Amino acid sequence: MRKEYRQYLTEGETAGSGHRLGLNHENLLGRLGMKSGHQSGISLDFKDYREYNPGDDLRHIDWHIYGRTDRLTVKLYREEVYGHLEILLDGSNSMVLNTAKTRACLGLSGLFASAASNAKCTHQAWLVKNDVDKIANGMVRPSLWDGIELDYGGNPGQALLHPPPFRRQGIRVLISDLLWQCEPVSVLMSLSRNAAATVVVQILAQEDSDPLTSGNVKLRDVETNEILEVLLNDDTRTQYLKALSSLQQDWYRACQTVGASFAILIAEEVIKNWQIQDLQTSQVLEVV
Amino acid sequence: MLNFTYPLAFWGLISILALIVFYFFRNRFQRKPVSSLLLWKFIARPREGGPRLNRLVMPLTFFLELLALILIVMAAVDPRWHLIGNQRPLFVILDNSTSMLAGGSHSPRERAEKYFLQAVRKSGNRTVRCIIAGEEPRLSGTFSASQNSVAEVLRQWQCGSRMACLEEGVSLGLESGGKDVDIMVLTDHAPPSGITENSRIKWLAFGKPFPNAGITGGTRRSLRDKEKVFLQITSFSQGQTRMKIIADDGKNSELARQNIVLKPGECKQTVFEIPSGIPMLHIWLKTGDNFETDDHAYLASEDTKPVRVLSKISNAKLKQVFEKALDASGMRSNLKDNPQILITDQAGQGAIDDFTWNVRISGQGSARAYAGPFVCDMNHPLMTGTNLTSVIWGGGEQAALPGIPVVTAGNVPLITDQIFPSGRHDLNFVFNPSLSTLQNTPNFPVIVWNLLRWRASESPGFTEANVRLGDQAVLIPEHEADVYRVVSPKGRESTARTDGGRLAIQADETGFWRISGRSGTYDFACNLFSPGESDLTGNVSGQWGSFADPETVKKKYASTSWFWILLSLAVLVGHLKVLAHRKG
Repeated sequence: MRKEYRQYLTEGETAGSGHRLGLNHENLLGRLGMKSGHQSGISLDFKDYREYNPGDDLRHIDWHIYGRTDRLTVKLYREEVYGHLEILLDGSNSMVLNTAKTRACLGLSGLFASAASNAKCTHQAWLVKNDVDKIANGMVRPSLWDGIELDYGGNPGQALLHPPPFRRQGIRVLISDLLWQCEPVSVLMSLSRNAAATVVVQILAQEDSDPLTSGNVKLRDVETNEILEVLLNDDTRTQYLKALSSLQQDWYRACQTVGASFAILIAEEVIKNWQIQDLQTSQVLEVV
Repeated sequence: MLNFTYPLAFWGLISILALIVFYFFRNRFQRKPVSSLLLWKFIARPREGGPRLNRLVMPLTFFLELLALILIVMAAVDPRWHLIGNQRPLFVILDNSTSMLAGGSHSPRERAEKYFLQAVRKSGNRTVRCIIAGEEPRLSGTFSASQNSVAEVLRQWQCGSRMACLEEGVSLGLESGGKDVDIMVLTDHAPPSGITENSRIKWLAFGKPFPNAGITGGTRRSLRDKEKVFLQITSFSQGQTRMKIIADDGKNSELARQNIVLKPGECKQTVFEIPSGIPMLHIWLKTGDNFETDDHAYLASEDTKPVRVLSKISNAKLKQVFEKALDASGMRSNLKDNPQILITDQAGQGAIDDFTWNVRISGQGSARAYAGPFVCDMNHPLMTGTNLTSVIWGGGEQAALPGIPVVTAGNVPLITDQIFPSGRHDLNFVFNPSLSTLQNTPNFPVIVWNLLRWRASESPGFTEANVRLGDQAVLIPEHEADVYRVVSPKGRESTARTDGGRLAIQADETGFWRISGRSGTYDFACNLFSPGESDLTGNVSGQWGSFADPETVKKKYASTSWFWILLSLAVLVGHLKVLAHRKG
């Protein structure tokens, strides 16, 4: 892994120390957690009674009630949850279009990991390339992550259609520029299966969001090295912005469909002060 | 080495090229990496059909900069606005020589006339004055384009002169017009070197070189019952020329015919005989060339007018010398009554009347002789064809003789001419044949012949029956009449009046002229006989000189540089605004 990648992760980790992951999700599930869940669990706090169903733990049968009423009744205890965050980082080559974009996406990964720790949640970092693979040391602090190479030239969406088994009811955050060919709903449905919450963060470089250059330009796709000659003027710029807006609308609608949160961030603005207003507004992150 | 009239404009043009090259390279396809081409698919092109030609699109700033540079170049070139109020008069010198008619309907005159009319139309309110340059230049008319006197000038421009004094015409134009005048010369040949260095002169030639052969001289002389015709024919072509000479009596009755072959550039004299008594002889040279005027010769019969001479000379030797010379002249009449000339060496002999010219000879007693140098008035009719070099002239020592000196030896007059109001001339000779060699040289009979011819020319009739084109034919009528009717060879009729007993006719057409009046009818002939006009090999077309000298331009045209500079500044301000708008 490149030296500067670790620097960017550390930078994000530092920035994340001022944030905490928002856990206001009904489906959060964990073991021996610090926070009371909405489901029955194995904590010491009594919650309710209910009739025994075959398969219930026999140890929870209240024998006193059985003695009085001759009915098998089990005691339910309040669940204690311990949140878990899955950080999915787009490993394609487009994430290193420029320093700001690389810095922002790695820093944001570190920030989420740090915010999760602040919220007493565990985390696991994944790198999405041809497959979705764990990042070495991805469950510890970001500055210790290893093996990150943003050099994939294919379509990460294909890998997200068949994700690995994530921890149930965890929070899943996808950090990507989303500039690849896929059906957003399909990707999000796969990604948010058994998830407590799904957050899609589209991180774009300034030049991705608005190509200000004018004149004749030979565009080179950094992933495929495909060349396209374009005359950039107000007309083509408008068409480009229209296409980008359409893509973002597709993802936004897909997020609404699956109940995910969607945020669009500009790399150059993110790295200015790491105050990500959109994520704070949507309570994905909370300021400590 | 190249020199530029407007070096600033040249550098301006270079900068325009530099600007175009700069923008061309600037607008080349720049490589730009992007995250994905996914969003650029809207301009993806089909692979079929080959490459598409893109229109070169330049930004607005390029066109503004280009416009500014062009305006600066315009300012550097310094275009000028024609000042209508500051118009210089135009003098047009029209070549009136006959060679302007060579070539038929495509003659230099026809082409020059078209140009002339065009120039007059373009001249606007400018004053145009014309000088017709023949044997001498003469002002023809003053007009502007709005007037109709152009037709009158063209009517006068007949090209009927055997030469064109164009340089004199130019001098007359410059003298008449002063400093601010433009001179335009319309002719058929190139200018003499240096004349177009004057920036006020534009020389336009419309001629074409043609091979030509023509009659360049001719005369006829009586010889008993026949007449001999002497002709000089010259070829002005690069090849051998065959031609026929046909002589008729002016009424299509052929008198003689001759074939002749001329080598390139050859000048040949030919002689043939015709019967005597032909008053008008027309000679036609059939060459088939483009210039017809010199292919015809018209020779009128030269009437010999005998002069009645009375000799009263007592000195025997002197008498012998004079008698011999008078007889040799062939012009002495046998009649002695009412003499026209009285020759005497008698000191007391007075004048007979105003009709008789007196020739008084003195100096027989003198022992002095003069070997020269002699001072001669060669313009005097008596001295034509004489040369007194090596002559010993014996004569008197009289320091004063009445009349104007014609020949002197130092301050000693040897011949004087005394003119009387009646037109009579008295000639005083100081001549001693015993001490002289003059009578042994051709000069003496020449002087005597000149005397008789001079006196004969004062007799009624033409002084010369055959004149050259442009010369004056002088008629002394038998009886003075106020008005005479003159008919030119082309049938143009006019009237003329005698002046001092003489009638002078300007011969501006070749052919036979007729003058009729109360005292009778007189005919004379006019011929070109000008080798210079017959030689068409030097004719050219072209233009030399122009009116566009810097001083003239400054006077006639106002500079507009300020206007272009202001425009360029306005464009540059617009350019600045566009840049400011882009930067937000």
